[in-house]
Amino acid sequence: MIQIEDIMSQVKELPTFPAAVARLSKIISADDFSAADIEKIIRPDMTLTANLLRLANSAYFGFSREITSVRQTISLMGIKRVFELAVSCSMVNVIPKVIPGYRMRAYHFCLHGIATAVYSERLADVFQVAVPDLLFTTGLLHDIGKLVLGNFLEPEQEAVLAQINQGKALLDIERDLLGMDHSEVGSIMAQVWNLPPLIEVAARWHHAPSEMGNSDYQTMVDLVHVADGIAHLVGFGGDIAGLLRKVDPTAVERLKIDRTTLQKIVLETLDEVRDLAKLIISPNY
Amino acid sequence: MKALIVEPGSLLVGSNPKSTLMTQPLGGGIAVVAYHSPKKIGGIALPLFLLSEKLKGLSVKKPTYFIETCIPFFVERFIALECQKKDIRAWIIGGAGLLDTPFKVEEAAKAQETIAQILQKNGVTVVASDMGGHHSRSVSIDIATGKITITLNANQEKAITA
Repeated sequence: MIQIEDIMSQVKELPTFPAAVARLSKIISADDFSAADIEKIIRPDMTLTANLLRLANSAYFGFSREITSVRQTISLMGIKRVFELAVSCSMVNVIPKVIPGYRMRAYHFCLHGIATAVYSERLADVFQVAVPDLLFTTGLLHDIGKLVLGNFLEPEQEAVLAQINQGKALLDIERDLLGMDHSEVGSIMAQVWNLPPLIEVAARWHHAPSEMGNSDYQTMVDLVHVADGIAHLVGFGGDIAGLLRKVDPTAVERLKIDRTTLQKIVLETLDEVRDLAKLIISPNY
Repeated sequence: MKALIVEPGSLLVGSNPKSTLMTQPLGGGIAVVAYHSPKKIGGIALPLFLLSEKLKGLSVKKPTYFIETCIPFFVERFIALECQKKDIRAWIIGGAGLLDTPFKVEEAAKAQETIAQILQKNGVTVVASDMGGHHSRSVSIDIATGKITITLNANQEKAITA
């Protein structure tokens, strides 16, 4: 069984977000910032600036005129959205080419995160539910725990496959073999990386939204949970466990989601998910 | 060898013997794989949903999104390459379901049945199906040989020769 100390030492081994994103995360979490602060942090990082502008000009964010500067991005999209863009385009920095233990390519990991992020936002929009800012990022990063837990799962592949063949759910397999699952590890990582608290909450409860017991974030976690399930069903980002995961019917009821609207969301966002993923990471990676 | 990815909601039919058509993990999606041995032409179609009254409008703009509009279109692509319908053989693969989900799994069975009916109506023989369960499959077809490979959960492989 693994211990918190094992996780912490693995988190330290992982590549981290660029310094600018870490600084942004810190000030966003502290809720103490101005547009000028954000601009001052991003602009010196030329790669981040270029990638951020590329993403800001993508069809998903839908601005009719070209966005050409960080300042313009901030004024058009708002500070928190700019943070989301910065995290999205830096995500590739923290993902290994293959996620060990889950037999998942980096591209598929990103694709799954993006699909979950896009579905979360679209569900919130269509079903008119009020959610806190940064929903996109919570969807994007909900599975970060896999980046560390996979290293512990890798040596257990034979046992993992045996349990998969018995039809056991992924989270139960992780807990059975390692004493911890990727959602618990994800919340630890979010803390270590100083990510805003709601990202930590979503990482922790995205597989068990009804167990959370925090009404402030309930809707957000429900959205990420359902969006995660849809992304798996559509085939955006499969891992070793396939569809051996559950969707909580209570979360679906809480959001009052109907099937036809869900299908419509999937169909309307197919190209957006793929295009965004390709902007963030090469499909061959 | 050129690997071409078939995306959800699209189809590809090819005759280049140096190419392999492949899907990403299908999840709950269903792939229709077809091969015409005499001309060595193969294809994969990945429609997403059965057409419902409320979604009908979308089928005009995106016929490959829906089973009822995608499959006839898929067969037509073979015909356009001078394939005889009677020599096209098809396989239906995918349709896995989540554990304990409110998104009903019987939809996959209904989709499979509809696909088989449409193929049959279009004179195409369905050779076999590999459907259901909770394992996400990906599938590929080698155009030169017609060899179809199904990979379960990015791990176990099984091959079918067309």
